[in-house]
Amino acid sequence: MTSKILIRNLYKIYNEEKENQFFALKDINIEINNGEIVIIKGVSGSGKSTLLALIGALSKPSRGDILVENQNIAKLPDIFSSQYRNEEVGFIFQSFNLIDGLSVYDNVKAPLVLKNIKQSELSEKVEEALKLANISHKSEQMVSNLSGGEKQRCAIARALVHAPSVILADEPTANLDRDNSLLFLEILKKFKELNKTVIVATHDVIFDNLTVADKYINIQDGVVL
Amino acid sequence: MSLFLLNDIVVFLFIEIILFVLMFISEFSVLRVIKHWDFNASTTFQYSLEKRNYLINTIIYFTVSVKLVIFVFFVKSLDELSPLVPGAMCATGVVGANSYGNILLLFKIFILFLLGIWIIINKLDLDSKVFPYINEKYYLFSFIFVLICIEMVLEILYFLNIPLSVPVFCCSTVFKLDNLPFELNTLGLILIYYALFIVITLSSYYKNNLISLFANMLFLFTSYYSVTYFFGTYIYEVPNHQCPYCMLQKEYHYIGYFVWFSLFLGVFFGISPYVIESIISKKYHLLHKYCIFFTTFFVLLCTYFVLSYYLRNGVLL
Repeated sequence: MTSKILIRNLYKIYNEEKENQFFALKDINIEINNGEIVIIKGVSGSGKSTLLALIGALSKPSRGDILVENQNIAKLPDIFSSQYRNEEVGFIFQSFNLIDGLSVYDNVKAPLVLKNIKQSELSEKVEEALKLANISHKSEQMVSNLSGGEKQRCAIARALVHAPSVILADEPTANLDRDNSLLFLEILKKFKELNKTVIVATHDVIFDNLTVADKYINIQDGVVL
Repeated sequence: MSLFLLNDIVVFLFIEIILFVLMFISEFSVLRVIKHWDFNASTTFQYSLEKRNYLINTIIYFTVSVKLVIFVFFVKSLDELSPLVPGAMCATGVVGANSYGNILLLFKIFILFLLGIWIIINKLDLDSKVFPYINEKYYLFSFIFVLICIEMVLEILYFLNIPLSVPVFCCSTVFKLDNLPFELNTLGLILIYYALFIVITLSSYYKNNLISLFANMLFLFTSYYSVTYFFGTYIYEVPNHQCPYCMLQKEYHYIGYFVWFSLFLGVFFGISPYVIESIISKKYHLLHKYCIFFTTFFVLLCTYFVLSYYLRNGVLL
């Protein structure tokens, strides 16, 4: 298997060299192969979300390297970070981060709007993503009228629509009931079939001992155990 | 104090001081980047430099852009000062009111040229993922900053020393036909003007940076005299009205701004490919087409006034 993501000596330090200096991540070294599903486990404040934000180029580290397909994304200038996020990464957030005033279809379409693609191709991609996330039947509904589970599936469709190679999910089941959480696990299997590299940060026990997961990483106080 | 002759001057100097302070602060970080930048390092210090670089680059880009824009404001303010300076009929008298005026104007044009080069190198640097021209870009900025310090001093000296009681010379005295260089006559001057235009167009078309550099430098020199002593008379429609500044006034529909700025932009885009290649060792031919566009616009605009006058009156001045 080829290495998709390689993290070397990664640190994230807040208020560096000040009295209230805080190490959110300390000397993290991780290797994730292409198509792997990785579960990052840890209690709140352990550094899981910080790690996801760094892999997603949403913030910069204080030290160390994050190589995604041999490209150090930690060193990318802002404009190229945006390009990387737009092309390579799909995000699924705990609080969904959907636009309430838009329909499901328009929310899913959002990542493609800035890409110069034909309307017919755009519709095709959106419909395919809606189908994969099992939310096609609600495509015309306003997001504000959806249940938590439906919102999460809409967010999954949005994360998939631009065909990213990496999907980052931050506490994806935190706002879901058990049935919807189990549904998310089914969707993880679909990601596996699609050969997506998926990193899930969670403290939910429902992710324990999953057959679909390739790797578990436990984090405590910013350190990989 | 002559500094407070006009609100425009006060506003202009206020903006200049703000820009100067921003550049002064940025320069400290620029020196730090020049000294310690190592893009291959993943250390805390390098990451902090990268963050700082993003900030100072944005500040410098902003200040440089504003400096380009306020040059127009500076020229307009000079023109508006003319009713307040005894003897001055246009900006000629104001610029020549003391020994600093002409030096300041030339200095400003030179700095504008360098700022334009900086913007292009900055664009090329930011277009890449690895900041390949960061050192060249900041060395150039540091050089420009030194010039801006001198410019600031010149500006203050100039505005403080505009005489309010001693009459200054007006354009009819300053610009006389016998002032043409190398004992040229008007016909010779105009022939050189059009010949250089052809050379510039060909050198830009064939992307020859060196010929374009020399041809544009000569063209700038020739055009200054051609516009002042020949084309200008057709803009004013008065045979002995020879002035590069009066055409900036409302009576002439501010046509001078179009004339001079198209000339400066054309020359800038003609010279800069060679200068940029010398600084960053990379060919950047895209600028040649802008050179052809602006130079052609300038030549057509100047020629239009001559043809228009001839067609309406059946004679030349």
